[in-house]
Amino acid sequence: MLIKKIGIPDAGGNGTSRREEEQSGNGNGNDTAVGVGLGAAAVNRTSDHSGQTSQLDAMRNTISGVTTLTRGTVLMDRYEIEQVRGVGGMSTVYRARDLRFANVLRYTAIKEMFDTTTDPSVGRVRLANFEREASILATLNHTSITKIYDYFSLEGKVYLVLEYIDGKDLESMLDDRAGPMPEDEVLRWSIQICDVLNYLHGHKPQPIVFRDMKPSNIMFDNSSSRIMLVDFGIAKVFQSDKKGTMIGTEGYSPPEQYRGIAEPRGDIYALGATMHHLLTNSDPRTETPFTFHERPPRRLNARISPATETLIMRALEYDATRRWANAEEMRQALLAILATHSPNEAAALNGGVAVGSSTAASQPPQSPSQSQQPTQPQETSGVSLKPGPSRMAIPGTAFMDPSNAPHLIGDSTDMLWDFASEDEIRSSPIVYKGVVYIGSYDSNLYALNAKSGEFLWKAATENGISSSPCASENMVFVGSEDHILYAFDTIRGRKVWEFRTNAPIRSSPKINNGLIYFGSDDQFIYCLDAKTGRQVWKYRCWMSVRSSASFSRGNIYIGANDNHLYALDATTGALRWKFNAGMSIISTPAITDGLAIFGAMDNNIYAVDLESSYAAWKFRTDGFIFSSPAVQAGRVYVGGVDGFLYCVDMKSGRLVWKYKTGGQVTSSPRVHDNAVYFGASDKMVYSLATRDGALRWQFPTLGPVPSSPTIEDGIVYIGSTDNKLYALAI
Amino acid sequence: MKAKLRAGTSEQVSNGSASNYLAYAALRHVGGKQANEDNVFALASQLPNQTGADGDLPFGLFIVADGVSSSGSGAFASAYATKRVAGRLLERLYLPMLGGHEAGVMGGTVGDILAEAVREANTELFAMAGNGNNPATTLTVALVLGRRLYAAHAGDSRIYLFDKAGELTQVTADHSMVARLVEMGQMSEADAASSQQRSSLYRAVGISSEVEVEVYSNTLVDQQRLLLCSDGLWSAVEGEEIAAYLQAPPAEAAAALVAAALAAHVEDNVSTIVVALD
Repeated sequence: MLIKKIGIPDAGGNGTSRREEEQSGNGNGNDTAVGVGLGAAAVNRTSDHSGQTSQLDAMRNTISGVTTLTRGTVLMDRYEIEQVRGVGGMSTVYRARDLRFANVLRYTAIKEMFDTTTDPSVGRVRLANFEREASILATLNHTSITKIYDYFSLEGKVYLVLEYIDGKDLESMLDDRAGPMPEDEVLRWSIQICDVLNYLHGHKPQPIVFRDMKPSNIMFDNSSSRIMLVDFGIAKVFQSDKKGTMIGTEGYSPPEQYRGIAEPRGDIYALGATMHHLLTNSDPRTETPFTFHERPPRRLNARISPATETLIMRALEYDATRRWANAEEMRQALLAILATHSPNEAAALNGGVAVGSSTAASQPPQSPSQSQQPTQPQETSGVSLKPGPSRMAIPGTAFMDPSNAPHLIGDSTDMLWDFASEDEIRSSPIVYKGVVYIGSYDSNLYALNAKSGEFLWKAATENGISSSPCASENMVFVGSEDHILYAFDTIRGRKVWEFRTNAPIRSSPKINNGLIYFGSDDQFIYCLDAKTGRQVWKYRCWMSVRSSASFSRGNIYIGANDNHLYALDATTGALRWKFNAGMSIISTPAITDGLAIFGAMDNNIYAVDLESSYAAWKFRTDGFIFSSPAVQAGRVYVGGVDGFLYCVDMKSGRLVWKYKTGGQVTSSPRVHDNAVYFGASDKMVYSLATRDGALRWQFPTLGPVPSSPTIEDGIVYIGSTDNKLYALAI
Repeated sequence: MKAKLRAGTSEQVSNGSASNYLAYAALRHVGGKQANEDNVFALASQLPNQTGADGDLPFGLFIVADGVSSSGSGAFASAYATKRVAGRLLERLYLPMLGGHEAGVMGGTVGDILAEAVREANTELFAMAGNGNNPATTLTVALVLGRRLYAAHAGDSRIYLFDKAGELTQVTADHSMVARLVEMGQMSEADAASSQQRSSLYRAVGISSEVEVEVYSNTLVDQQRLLLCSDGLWSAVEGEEIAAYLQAPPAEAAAALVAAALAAHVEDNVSTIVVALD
């Protein structure tokens, strides 16, 4: 047993100051060195004949449950332990002094590994594996690879004697900094890493795959300013296979490594993951696996250059054939980017040869293009989601970049006809039996031929019309600012009846089973007989009622400015329940699947369970919701005052995609086939693809478009505050 | 309500049958392991109608938790999380509903309440980590309110719905590495099932200071059965076989499912809750 116990005089504290020491004896070679560990852990005293299991064990301290060798312990008669550099689950690293070189201070790193197995035959196999790995490591010769000087085993533990590096690993440096690393530094380090990967991958007879690239396995040597790769997975030899240990660390490892494939391009992926972590300070181990493409670096750290982001994302391609083909190619790309920032540095890293600069590394086929919308660029410069099997629930903001269309102004659609009234059109048209009906703020209700736009008739009210009409049984109904709900016959526009309330009507009437329902600013919800205009019931709320009714299960559902969604019996007006949304509800609820989905002026979109009256979920936006949602195929489409058209998953309330317009969206979207249509206050009428929010076309009008479209027979009808009603091709 | 404890075995059987809807059977079997690190909770009830609609409001709360053995205290973790979450949900949903509180923003949405309860259990378990122990567990919660299912989930225990047409649908997504790889097209289902990584979870309760809880809500119209189970069941019994057993009433179905898992020499604990929805 080649261990000598020495009592050493306390050398000037240089990092071991956290541990107190005392010696017994006076430098007598046979005395015991005793150390006291942190936190009053067990003091290990021993003499030669104490009956302890091992002499080495006797000289250990305990730091947070792991026993480490004490300072002054000498291994193999040569290596004197000076301080603990790091403690891990499977291994401990010490700084030691090589006593062979007695006249100088020569340090080494000593890595102590312990085998977890109790089965001696398994232990033997592992020892053989370890010796093989250590031998390979011994043959490697690169300035960025720590040299291995020696190895030995003692009392069931295996020791590696390695080149000592004065510095910290990148994970510790990142922790110290508590924020992303500077881009140029990361580029520099990555160039060096590619250099050593090149060396390893080019190794003969077989390429060496590092397999465990991550910030904690990369050290920065202060004395040479070089990157050093440490831990060649030798410690992994001793890990238990109980849960099918994966070689490599989750988060940095490429998908194919889980299939047992470890090849050089896996190291490229891991380098990409490492760069991503260093540049964003977002640890991939804490995120859902393989979601790098949902978290492009620039979204987390806007200071990163686009070229670097592109380079990283290419390294992170799941398909290995789409990554950088080899470390050299990646290195060239890194050099090119660095050259644009500091050509001299790049040249220095390139062996003195100047590097041609480029502003973009070579691109994979789908490159994210910048958004064209004028507002808030960082919101619109999202990266397209990778195509592939769709997830059941999409976490976070899966934000689609709308610029799959080549350019903003350009994709428009045909206008079939338009019709000018004398004031703004703020409400939405309806089509009934081939006629389109629309109210205008010029106080008229117009009837036009739906196909040709030919004027048929107009009916006058005494003040502006801001709500939308409805029609049934050859009658068309509309409310006006003049407090009155009108019923006109559809053929000639003659008034059949009128019903007076006590304040302007801004809610749009709706018909169900021969009864007509609407709200008024006089705070009542009204139910009238559609044929006669006679009141059947009315229900009092506490503020104006501007939302419109929806029907289901014999109830009507309507929101009010007193913050409630009301569920009333459709026949009697009796209250079933009410839901408190916290702020006014102008939006009309969409009823689907047992849920009432609507927006409120607390900026949320709610899904309320009709049976229990509890909200299943709510989705937060950044502005009021006036728009009424449209629901199709499990998705909810609604516009917000914050300028977005949202697509939200109906089951989970999570965002599927959102599209930013140049203004507010108070218009309610309509869905037809695979497209959604709506207007915005940026004067545009939009058509987007429902699948991903890609722009299909946009049509410019001359004023904001607060109203909603109606679609019939391949024509989109929509009014604008430029006084016109438009008929557009779908 | 009949609760039956068979002395000396690792089984606990209880049947709730206030009405046919939400009649359930919850079974927890040690399976091929030494100790049972799974835990289950079940409560079925009926609330006096507040919404004026036809009939009273059924309320059901069902939980399955599968403790992570390698964490060193799997049994503790799953029991703790189950009880905490059940208690919180009864406190924040069940009692207010009984008290006739008006639903709305002040109380939060059902989804938020579920997710918050799971997150709190996570924070508490994570704070207990130390000395080589890191208590962790999967946690899968199913809440039935009327004809709607709300689920909150982290881990690889599962919720299935079995509809009247005989089709079995998995509601939750497994938070395992292999499931993620299958989802990405990087691994086949068959490889995933036999992979050594099968139990490697990237998300569970107690392993990290934060947990992202997945929340779902589904209508239950047209559904026949609700099934919750730990991976001991779904890894040992094929979907088609599961579907076949689910046709039977809950008690029979649950017993048959466990028996099938045992017959397949499952090496894990097996837990299952079967709830009638017809």
